[in-house]
Amino acid sequence: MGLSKPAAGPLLEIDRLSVDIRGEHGVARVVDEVSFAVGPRETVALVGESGSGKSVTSMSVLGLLPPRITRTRGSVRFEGRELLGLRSGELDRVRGDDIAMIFQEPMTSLNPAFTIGEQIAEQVRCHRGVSRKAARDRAVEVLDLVGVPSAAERLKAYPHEFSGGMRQRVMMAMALSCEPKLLIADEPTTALDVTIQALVLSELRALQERFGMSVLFITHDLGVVAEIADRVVVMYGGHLVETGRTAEVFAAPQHPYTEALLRSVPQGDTTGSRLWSIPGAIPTPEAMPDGCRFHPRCPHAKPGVCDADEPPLEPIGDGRSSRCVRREELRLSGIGGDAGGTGALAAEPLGGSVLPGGDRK
Amino acid sequence: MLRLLARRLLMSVPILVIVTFVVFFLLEIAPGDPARLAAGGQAASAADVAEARHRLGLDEPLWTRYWHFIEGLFTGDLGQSIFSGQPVLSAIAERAPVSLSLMAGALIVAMLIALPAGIIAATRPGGIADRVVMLISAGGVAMPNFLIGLLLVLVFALNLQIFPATGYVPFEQSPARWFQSLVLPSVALGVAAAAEIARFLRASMLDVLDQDYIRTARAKGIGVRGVVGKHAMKNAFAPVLTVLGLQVRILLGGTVVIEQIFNLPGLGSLTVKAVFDRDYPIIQGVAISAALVVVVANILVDVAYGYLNPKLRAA
Repeated sequence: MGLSKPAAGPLLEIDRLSVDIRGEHGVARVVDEVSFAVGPRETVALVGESGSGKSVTSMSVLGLLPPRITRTRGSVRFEGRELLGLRSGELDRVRGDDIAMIFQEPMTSLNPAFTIGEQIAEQVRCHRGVSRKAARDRAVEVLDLVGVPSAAERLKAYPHEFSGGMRQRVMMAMALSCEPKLLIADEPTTALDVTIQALVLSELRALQERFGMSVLFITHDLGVVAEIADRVVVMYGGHLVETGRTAEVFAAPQHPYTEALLRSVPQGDTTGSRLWSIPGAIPTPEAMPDGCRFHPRCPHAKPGVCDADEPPLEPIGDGRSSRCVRREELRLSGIGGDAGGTGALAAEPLGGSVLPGGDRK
Repeated sequence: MLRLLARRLLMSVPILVIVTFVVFFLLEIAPGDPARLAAGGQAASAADVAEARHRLGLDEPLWTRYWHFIEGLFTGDLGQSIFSGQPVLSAIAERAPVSLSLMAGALIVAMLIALPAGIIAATRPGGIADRVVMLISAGGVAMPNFLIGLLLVLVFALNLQIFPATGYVPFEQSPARWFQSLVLPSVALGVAAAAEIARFLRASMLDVLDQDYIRTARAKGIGVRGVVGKHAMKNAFAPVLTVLGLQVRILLGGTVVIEQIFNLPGLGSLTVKAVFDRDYPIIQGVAISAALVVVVANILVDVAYGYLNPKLRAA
């Protein structure tokens, strides 16, 4: 699929992953042929709005989707080993040990009925087979590491005795307790205050360097992406629309959706000016538009071109790929660089005046 | 945790006071004259009735008698049976083990059925196991316990002859036969509770299994038993405890019927006899004991609740 493979071979390889979810309105394909890889020590950001399929993609790696209503196809390989289709018992040896995961909702992701010490220690006991005492010591160690003050005394505390930021640190401590090779972080900072967000992010980065682990970071916040990710994978309507190195994607996006996302990030002094947002809403899997899935919301959409056939994800060299047929005509604008120029913005202003179905001039 | 316990104990004092009040005055306004009954019924002469009234202390003012009643409670003197003359306390002490064994047996039967049934149903909602559990439990809730009791006697006692149809063997006499004599009554009494608890556990479990922390537990790789048996169970069981507390009261009422069917010499059969005899001291004693059992059960439920839900411990 035209992705650059890191020299040592990827740690996690997702290949044509599709996820169907059975709901009230029948079966919906929420993830559609998604392929990307995460190399050793690499941080990859999976970016998209709510409903783009990014969380479902991340959950299917560890088989966390409810099996009764989901059907997963394709391949998810970790260190060359296929994870899809593994029995739950076999998957449990990978979960929490080789691959750990932290979630968006620190307030509800910890079990209210157990002390945090127990919640960390049970994972260590399970994967390392150590004594209760050793597991407890390990829990203190990792709580210390993520910056929970007086960790030894806090072991006996329950989640409700912690603030949101502290709970996310506890989640991180839990995830790191078995020194995973890959950490999947599903919007770990979204529910936190901005100041706590920055703290948790810098903590995460420091820990990543210390353990040498890879991170798959799921977020809709491009500000966060700029801060931590080596590469970006942009999802829209269940499939990939653009991939590439963070700096390059930010400087010169190759897909109008990426450009629109970048434009939605408030930058510098925005006092007095209205914050820009992408018009319209992300399509539901039941009502996926023909042609390019983004064209009804795209300021650059061209009738007869963009609403005809679904564009393929095309490699465009240097490990980048894009799913836009007008990519070469458009000169999309990014931020933090001038590789893409700003011509496109001037010629075809983005704005709220775009009609559903594209700009039919 | 100790504070929670102390608070609950303190709270139960006014409840018990109210119970004594209600028990005493309800019987006071009930129709029928115990003095006449004690003197020999309708045929007794006015003088005999007056004599019996004096002997039983029924000619004293109401409040004095209530005061004696309360005094008696604290000194362990609940009076004597009007008919047999046996002290009420010893009559209850004699019968209580039977009823308590029966209730404990019923609760054990209920949990043995409800726990696996509720969990299996909740882990595969809409599946065959779930449907079977829901169907049977609907029947279990709907079926009266005396009917279940009679069916059990018919099948297991009369046809298969595995268990005795009626009667009770004290534990001290033969533990094995004590156990045998309790199996059918416990099942008959426990089935409805099992159905009720299973349905509650299923609903509570379904709700809990949807929580974010269950996803976290699954992501930790601690296995299905750790996720369902430990993480989900501790949270899902709290609402079930409330039902369990209510069930104790229902089971207590159920013993009356079940003890009749299986001819068990428990508090239930004692009560039925006492009601027909208008043996007030016995009725009062049984009612107070029953209230005590319910209050104690509720305290246990609250303490267990505190264990399951750490947030309550501090409160």
